[in-house]
Amino acid sequence: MQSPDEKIYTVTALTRLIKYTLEESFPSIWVEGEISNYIHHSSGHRYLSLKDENATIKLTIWRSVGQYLKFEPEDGMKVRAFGDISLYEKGGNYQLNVKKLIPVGVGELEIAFRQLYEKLSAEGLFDLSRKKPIPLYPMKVGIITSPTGAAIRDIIQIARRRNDLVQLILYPAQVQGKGAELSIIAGIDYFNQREDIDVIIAGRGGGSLEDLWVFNEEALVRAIAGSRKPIATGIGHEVDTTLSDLASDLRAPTPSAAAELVIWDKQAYISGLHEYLERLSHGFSSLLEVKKGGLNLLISRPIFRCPENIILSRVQYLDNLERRFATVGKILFEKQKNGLSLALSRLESLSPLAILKRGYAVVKSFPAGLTVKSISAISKDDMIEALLSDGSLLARVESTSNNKEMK
Amino acid sequence: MTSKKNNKDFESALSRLEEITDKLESGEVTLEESIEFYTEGMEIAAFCAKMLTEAEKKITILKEMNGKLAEVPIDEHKGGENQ
Repeated sequence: MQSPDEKIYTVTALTRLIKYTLEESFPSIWVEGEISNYIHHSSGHRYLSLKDENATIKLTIWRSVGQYLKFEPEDGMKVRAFGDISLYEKGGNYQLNVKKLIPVGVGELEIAFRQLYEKLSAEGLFDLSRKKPIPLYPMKVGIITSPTGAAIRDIIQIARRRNDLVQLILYPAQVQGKGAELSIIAGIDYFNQREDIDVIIAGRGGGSLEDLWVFNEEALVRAIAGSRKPIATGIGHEVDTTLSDLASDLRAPTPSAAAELVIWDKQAYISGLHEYLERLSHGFSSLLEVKKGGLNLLISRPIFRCPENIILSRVQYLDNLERRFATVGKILFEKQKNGLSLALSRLESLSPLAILKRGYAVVKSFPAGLTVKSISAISKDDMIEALLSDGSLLARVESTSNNKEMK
Repeated sequence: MTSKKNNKDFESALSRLEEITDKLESGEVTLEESIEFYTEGMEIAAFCAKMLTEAEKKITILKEMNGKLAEVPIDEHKGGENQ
């Protein structure tokens, strides 16, 4: 039973009392546990629980705090949260308002690195196909680093040793600390605007993970990937890999190595030239030898040894031709000649003299000399001349008779 | 910025020299071509020699002057803080 002098609280009063006691008892404490039910709300605030084997506590990360988080919390991640316990009167529950959140076991920068790597990698920012070729013989190299660092000193030394033709232009940048990425990005923008710059080297000497962190800042990594001019990076020591290295066109393990790779060796170039010239001279003279050998071979051939042969053979050919022509002509001539005598003999056989030789006579009137073809043209006592093959005779006609009387 | 030398000059000079050397060494060229190649090679060599001796080493640092960045010769002795 309730005694009359016992105090009765209103819900609000009790809640306020609990709130006061709770918040006073746990000002700014660290709590460690595993994240569950993580929600990154569109308002920018983050809500999550921390739990261990036996208990759970709710955490809130307001946007004003969350925007400075280097990594994105994930369920199952072990973290230490620093903040104040506060009680929410309306809901009757309590929570830890987070002011700091750090990962346990793995460093927060490592997580941040992995997360940004995964994000940019998915975007294809590190793809080999994006990489621009570094020119073989750059004449002007833009350097982005600290003007007082070890990196620029090393680069100058290497340039001095390798090639006095290559011009270096230093864009003095801040390479660590808050906002350093903006200074490096400004350098990239500057050199991209200058037409005469062939290639950019960005980097810095060794340092702690925090010192090098600027080269993992998203804005800088994007600026490197987006640069129109090729960029070589040399950041920290060999063991250090930054996202800037992965996004650049050429990743050198150190600034010195970047200089060695970008600044071409003048002496090696000259040696290369000499080698080609020697090969060219040698190639030329051996080619001459070959051509000369070919010429010797050519002039040792019979045609050049006895050039008159070509004429003699032509003369012979001509003689031969002539002989053949003469033979053929003779044959043809003989043939013609034979034909002619045949024709003559045929002609001869048709001659009246030949007929006379066979015993015929031609009778002509005398002295008129007209050929007598009919007895009607002649009378008794007319004189006729009979032509025989070897002469003629004169006769007197005794009588005439026609063919009927003769029968 | 006054330099007329160009990174492409060095590259094309060497690659042309390589090309004509390879051709000449292959032996598959006429005498006339070989003379042309040899002459061209000598011209390239002379051109390169000229480019290579026109050394004008410059190391500059950008400094803001009247709101604009200007190149000034670097003071190398100031470099070297371990950063």
